[in-house]
Amino acid sequence: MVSQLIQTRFLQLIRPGRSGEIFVVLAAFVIVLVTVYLTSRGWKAFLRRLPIVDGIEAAVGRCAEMGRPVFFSSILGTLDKTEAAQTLASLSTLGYVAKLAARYDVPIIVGVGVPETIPLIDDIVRGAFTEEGKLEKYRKEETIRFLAPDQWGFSSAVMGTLRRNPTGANVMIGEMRGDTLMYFEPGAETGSLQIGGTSTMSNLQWVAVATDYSAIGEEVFALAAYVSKDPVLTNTLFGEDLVKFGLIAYVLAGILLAAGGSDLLVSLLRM
Amino acid sequence: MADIKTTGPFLVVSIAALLTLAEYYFVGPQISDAARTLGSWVVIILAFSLIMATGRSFLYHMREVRRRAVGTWYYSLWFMILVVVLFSVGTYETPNGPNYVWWQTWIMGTTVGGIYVVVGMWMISAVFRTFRVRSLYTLGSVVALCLFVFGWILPIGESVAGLPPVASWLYDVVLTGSWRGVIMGAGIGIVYYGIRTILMRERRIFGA
Repeated sequence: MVSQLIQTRFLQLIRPGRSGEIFVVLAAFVIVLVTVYLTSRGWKAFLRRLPIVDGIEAAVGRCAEMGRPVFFSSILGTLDKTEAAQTLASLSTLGYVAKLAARYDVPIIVGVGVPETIPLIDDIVRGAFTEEGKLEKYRKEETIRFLAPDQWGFSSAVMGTLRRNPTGANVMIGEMRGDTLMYFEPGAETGSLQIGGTSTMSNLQWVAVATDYSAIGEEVFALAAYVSKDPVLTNTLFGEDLVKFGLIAYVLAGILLAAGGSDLLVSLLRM
Repeated sequence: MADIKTTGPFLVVSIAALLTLAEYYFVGPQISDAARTLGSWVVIILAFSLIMATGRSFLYHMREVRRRAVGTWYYSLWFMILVVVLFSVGTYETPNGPNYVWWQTWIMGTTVGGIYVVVGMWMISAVFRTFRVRSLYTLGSVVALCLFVFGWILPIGESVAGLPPVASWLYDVVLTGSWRGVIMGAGIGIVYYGIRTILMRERRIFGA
């Protein structure tokens, strides 16, 4: 009776070919909810320290010593397309960078390419300065600079900004395209520490080679959780690893079954 | 009231994300209609944000010109002139008008081409910085690079027995395998970040 109901009602509602995906997402939801529950009971997962976190701290400290500003940008990542998660993760990291900048009295410049992120950036930087008790030092006009919404206009503006205001550190996390090197190489030339992060597959290699500290792939999202210091968020990273191990097991089982002539697991994903 | 001000934005994000998720996974006229309405609102908000951001940028440059910022004020003035000219042309004859199209084709098109060429120069400088063998990782990169360049790209590689197959194996097995691993990891990262946002746990995005 129940299985008939599921088959006739529920499965017909799901778009063809997406049943496998929805199962993974639902499993992830359940794991997150369990994590929230366990955290409320005092559980704390061990978390390896990400090198980029040390890099960010060193970068802002370096700016304080050199008397130079720190430059941050989430580049051209929008809030309404596939890169939205990456953009939001980048903005979460901005909160941490801004907090350090406020603590050490380092001027921060945020280069903006996507206009709809301006109110969020304003809230984040204002919040960070308030937390450090230095709201009076926050100059919105000097901090948030809308450069250009166009890819090449934005990269040109970033190059110009970095040359006109030599920075001590250049933190760029978000969606990167063919212009990736235009963000990091001018910074390297003017002697600033390069910190980059992206999960855009086509440009991971440039971030890895052109920066001093990098976060690639899922590290961008892990970084956002790590710097929040919220135990629920950091504990969910443990859940992420569980799903990852599950998928590795699935892939291995799929390889063994395929070697035996069965495509059962592949068909399940395409359901 | 203060509670609504704090929780409201998170709630809006959560509902919008859930609706988008539902539209992706489920079929149904109500879901599609709601998603379409949400899409229209997104377009309207984005258009307004662009106008406000341009105005904000204009004011910033106006201040720079007023205080005669050393070495940069004339760039700011040039920027303001261009904004006024393009805004006037775009408003007067729409973006399909001959002057606007001329600008896009002969000024924007050629400038963008020129800027794109700079990427080549940066690639060379990035490669130079990277392959200076400062650590074990970069040593590995240099070895892989040499295998690729000599085994695959330069004709000399064909004269060394066994080099092209090693380069192919590196690309087909090691690189492709690692690539897929990173894609899976990033995918799971996105799923988890999305869930944390829907559950209103990612509070940093509103400065909370």
